[in-house]
Amino acid sequence: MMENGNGVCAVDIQAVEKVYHSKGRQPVQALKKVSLSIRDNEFFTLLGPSGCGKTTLLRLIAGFEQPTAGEILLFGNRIEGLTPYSRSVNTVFQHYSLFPHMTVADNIGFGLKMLKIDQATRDKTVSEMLSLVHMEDFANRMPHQLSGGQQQRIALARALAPHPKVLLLDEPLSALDLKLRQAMRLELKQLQEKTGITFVFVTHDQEEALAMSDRIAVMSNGEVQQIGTAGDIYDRPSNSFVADFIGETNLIDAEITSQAGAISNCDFPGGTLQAETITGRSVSDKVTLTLRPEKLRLSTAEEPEQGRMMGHVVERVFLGTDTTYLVQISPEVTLQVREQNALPGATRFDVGAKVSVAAADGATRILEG
Amino acid sequence: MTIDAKFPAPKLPQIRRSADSDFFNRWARLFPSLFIIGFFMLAPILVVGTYSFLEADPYGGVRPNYSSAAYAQLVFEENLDGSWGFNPSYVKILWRSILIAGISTALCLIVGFPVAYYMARQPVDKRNFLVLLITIPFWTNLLIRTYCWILILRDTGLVNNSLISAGILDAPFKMLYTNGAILLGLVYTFVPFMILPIYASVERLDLRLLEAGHDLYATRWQVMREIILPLAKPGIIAGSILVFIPCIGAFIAPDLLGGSKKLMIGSLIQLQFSSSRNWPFGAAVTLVLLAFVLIVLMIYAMKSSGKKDLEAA
Repeated sequence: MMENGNGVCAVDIQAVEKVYHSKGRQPVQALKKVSLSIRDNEFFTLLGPSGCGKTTLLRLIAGFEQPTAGEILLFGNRIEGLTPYSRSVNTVFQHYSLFPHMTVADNIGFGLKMLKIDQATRDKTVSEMLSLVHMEDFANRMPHQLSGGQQQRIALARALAPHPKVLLLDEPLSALDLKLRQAMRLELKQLQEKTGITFVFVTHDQEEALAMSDRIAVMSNGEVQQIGTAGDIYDRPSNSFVADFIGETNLIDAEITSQAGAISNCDFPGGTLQAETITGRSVSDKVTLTLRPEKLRLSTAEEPEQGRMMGHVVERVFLGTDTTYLVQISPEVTLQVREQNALPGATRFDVGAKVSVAAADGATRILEG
Repeated sequence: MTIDAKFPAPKLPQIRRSADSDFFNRWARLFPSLFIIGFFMLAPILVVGTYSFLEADPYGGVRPNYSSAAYAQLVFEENLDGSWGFNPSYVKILWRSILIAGISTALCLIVGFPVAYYMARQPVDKRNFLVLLITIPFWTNLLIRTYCWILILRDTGLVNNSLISAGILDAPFKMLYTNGAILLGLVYTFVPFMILPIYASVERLDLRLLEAGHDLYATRWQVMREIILPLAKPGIIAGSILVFIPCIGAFIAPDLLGGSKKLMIGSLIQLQFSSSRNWPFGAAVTLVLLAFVLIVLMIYAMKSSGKKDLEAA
């Protein structure tokens, strides 16, 4: 795939495999035939738990490692065998890796110096970069004089200074505290829009991914599980891994009892739910349903109705903005329900209370995998 | 301060210190270090200093009469007619020693850095083994090891014999008793002192910095020059000091491999205490050498601390 709706592909990964061999141990397959295309000017996130292969993929793009099989194309050009210093790709490292013996300005100017850019242009770019990350006053500091958040900004400025075609970010926010992390999320997104550089962002933090990305590739066990926008992945997860990994969800084993066109009725111990029919799943097939806790409502209503299940509260967890209830509707099935606390006088249910659980229309989905 | 009022600090038992216990705290605890520095460092230097201002006894030792002749002898000599004239020979020896020590240090650096770098980049278990290998020469006496070099380098030695029997050389190539042989001996003796500090500083190097360098378009050579060398600098400086100082006073390698014509300052000092029996002159040369080394180190210390002030500002 060279072209798509949004123009040229910035990074094209074609059936890339990576196997690590180490003496006396089983070879480890870090990537299994991964194919994906990252568009130009896109904020693309590789999301997955640790060990899923996302950092390996990033290192292959950067050139620190070579794929065992497959191809990587950068704007249509093969980059196989090119050393990291001949790829117009820069990396923001997880631990910043600022050069401890150079000032902030020298760190930022390092890439340009290596590219033999003249001093005047270099100085100009360095001060541009410093103002881009709001660190104008720190040019002559040494890295050890900076806080973690400041080092992070300098690492970002250093990687952006040579104007790479693609910027790789390897969990750059993971070492920061929560407040700073949230502020940096917004800043990173704005920076990407301002510079127009393609960002490839690696994280295990689903919130981070949802907040910033144009598109997300969810990875697990060296394979891409799903690629899509934040909304796609959250609302239409393609398998139980994605559904479970992104946000919180109820996974229910059910059986399709009848289908009426676009609607499948799915039975499970304690209730019946309607979900959109998906291809390949027909009557009497066993399926897994996903149902987000915030799309369920609790009430004291007793009359049975479509999509309504009766049960009792077994646990209540207060979370500030929300309250999470665990509602047992049958010996096999316990549902997590999330209710907002915003409304004054909203009913609070005690542990042991008899409640009915109603699912919003279209909230129930049958998983493909 | 309201908190303080509510919760006054618990009264701790006050320890009353008398002037005596103060004195005890200050000096008695320092005693071991003061003793070691005083007895093992300052006392010998004082003895050497005293001897350098005494008259030489032709049968060895000194006579307890004040004389500054030893220092005069360094740069002047008594002519046959009794007048004093400038004598550059000892200054030349000092200069030669500095030169040879400097070249040896540079050669040690050239040989030692790649070795240290290679060692530091090996897996951890292999590194320790390699450090052990570096220390192996220390298990044998230096004199014996230097004699071995004579066997290797002399006209009928290992190298010349092999080259001649292989038909590469017709006549032996003179290697022993040359400046080259002295340099070889010094580098051989002192290169571990260069390797170990550099190894220690390269081992601590964060390898991710090298990746960062490559990522920012630095080639392997540029990464070496811009990142590895500056960060290994403390090790390089420590190694250079550890090699240069013993080199300048070395006498075994210059004596055995350089022969009597290539006198270095270490051999000169040793001669004064043995065959020449001029202890005051030996002591004076020793002190001049000590002063020279101290001055070099102080200049270095001042330069590096001045640089730090600049960075902090």
